Amino acid sequence: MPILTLRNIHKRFGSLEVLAGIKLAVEAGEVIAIVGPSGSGKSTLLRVVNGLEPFEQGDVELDGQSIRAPGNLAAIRRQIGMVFQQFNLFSHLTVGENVMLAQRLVLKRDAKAAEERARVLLARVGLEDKWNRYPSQLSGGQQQRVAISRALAMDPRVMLFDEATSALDPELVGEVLAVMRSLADSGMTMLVVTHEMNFAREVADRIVFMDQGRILADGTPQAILDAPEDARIQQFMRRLAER
Amino acid sequence: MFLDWGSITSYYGLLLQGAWLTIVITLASFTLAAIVGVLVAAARASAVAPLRWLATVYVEVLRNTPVLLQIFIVFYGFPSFGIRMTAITAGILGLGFNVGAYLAEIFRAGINAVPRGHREAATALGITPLQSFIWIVAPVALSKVFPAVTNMFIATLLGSSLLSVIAVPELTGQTNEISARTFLTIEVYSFSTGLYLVLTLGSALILGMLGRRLFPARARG
Repeated sequence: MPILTLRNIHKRFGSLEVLAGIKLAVEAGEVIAIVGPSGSGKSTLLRVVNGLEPFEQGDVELDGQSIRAPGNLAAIRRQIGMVFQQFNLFSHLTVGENVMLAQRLVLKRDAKAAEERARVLLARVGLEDKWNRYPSQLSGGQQQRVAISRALAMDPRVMLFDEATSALDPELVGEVLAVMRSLADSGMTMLVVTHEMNFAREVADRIVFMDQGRILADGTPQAILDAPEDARIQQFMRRLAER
Repeated sequence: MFLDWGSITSYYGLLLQGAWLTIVITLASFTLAAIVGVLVAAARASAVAPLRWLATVYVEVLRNTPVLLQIFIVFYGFPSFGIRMTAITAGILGLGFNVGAYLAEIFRAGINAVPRGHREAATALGITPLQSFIWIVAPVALSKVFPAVTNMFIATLLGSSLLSVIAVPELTGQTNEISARTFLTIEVYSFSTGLYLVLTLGSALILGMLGRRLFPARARG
């Protein structure tokens, strides 16, 4: 049974149909890269998964539990971690406090347990020495690694990455991708919206190509990137290659 | 012109008592104002439309009518509804409700200045809206508007002099009293003006240090 199922999701912004019947089943441990032109609905899809974005039709299920059932939204959010393009660290809290806050408030861990977990995770992303620093004192790449630790501290079953490296200077992209790669190797289930095709090719089990709110293709990286059948995907790949 | 500073020395005690009462009234009414401000700002951001309207009416009426009249209404008007209180209590309420309207607007500006991503990240982590307000939105908002809040505190301290009109013996009230008794008008008023300066500059200094301690530049977004 898939860990995460999207059933025929429809969403509109006014007259614009941003998601036009998205169906997706994600198996535990799978890494899925979601690619496609901007405005194709990738980020909206990700935000639908943890209920940040309301949708008109369809359903999201985590372990067969519907996000629409009363009381389920909070439980599902707790089990799905999200990493944002702009990091969204809490600017008034130190690195350590950022990683501890939700553990204390949501999981009701005591200070000692929350700190222990935070230190382990920060060490894993190489930032244990930044414990007392504030986000404004870190580089973008460091902030994003803290944001990943903050999400992982909730022991999520699925991680969502919304263009996690798009706001970074080119020389900082690698350090964040490395963390994401090791997370994928550890067996985390991941949905990754990205423009990093090399990452998608090397790390993803599947690539989902979206265009105008629809899934145009869904298959192995080789099938989608090397031998795309659809003309729109071919065009997209050519544009990327020209960059 | 002959200034008789020597003769007012025997009134220093009374003036300092007045200054002390000014401090007490300022702290009490500003505390009330902060509570009113948070509630009204929250109401103005509420999803419930009637709450929003009520809060807007409150802010507009209180900010666009004289605070002195508002104090009169509390002191002379409330007793006809059976609500009796001392002049000091009436003054604290009148001033507090008025300053609360201004603080509500300042807090609202602060809340609007909190990056949307902060709230989104909190939601995505499973933090409830109330927890998010207490632990994230409120402190970040306050860090953005702390200088404006400091100004409001000083405005409240100076505004407390209006309570002399309903016979509250705060610094201005005491000054009027002593001046009328001794005719040492210039001396007494200059001395009290100096005391107000000490109070306001002292507050600015203390609040400035508090602000730098609570919200260091590195902890701002």
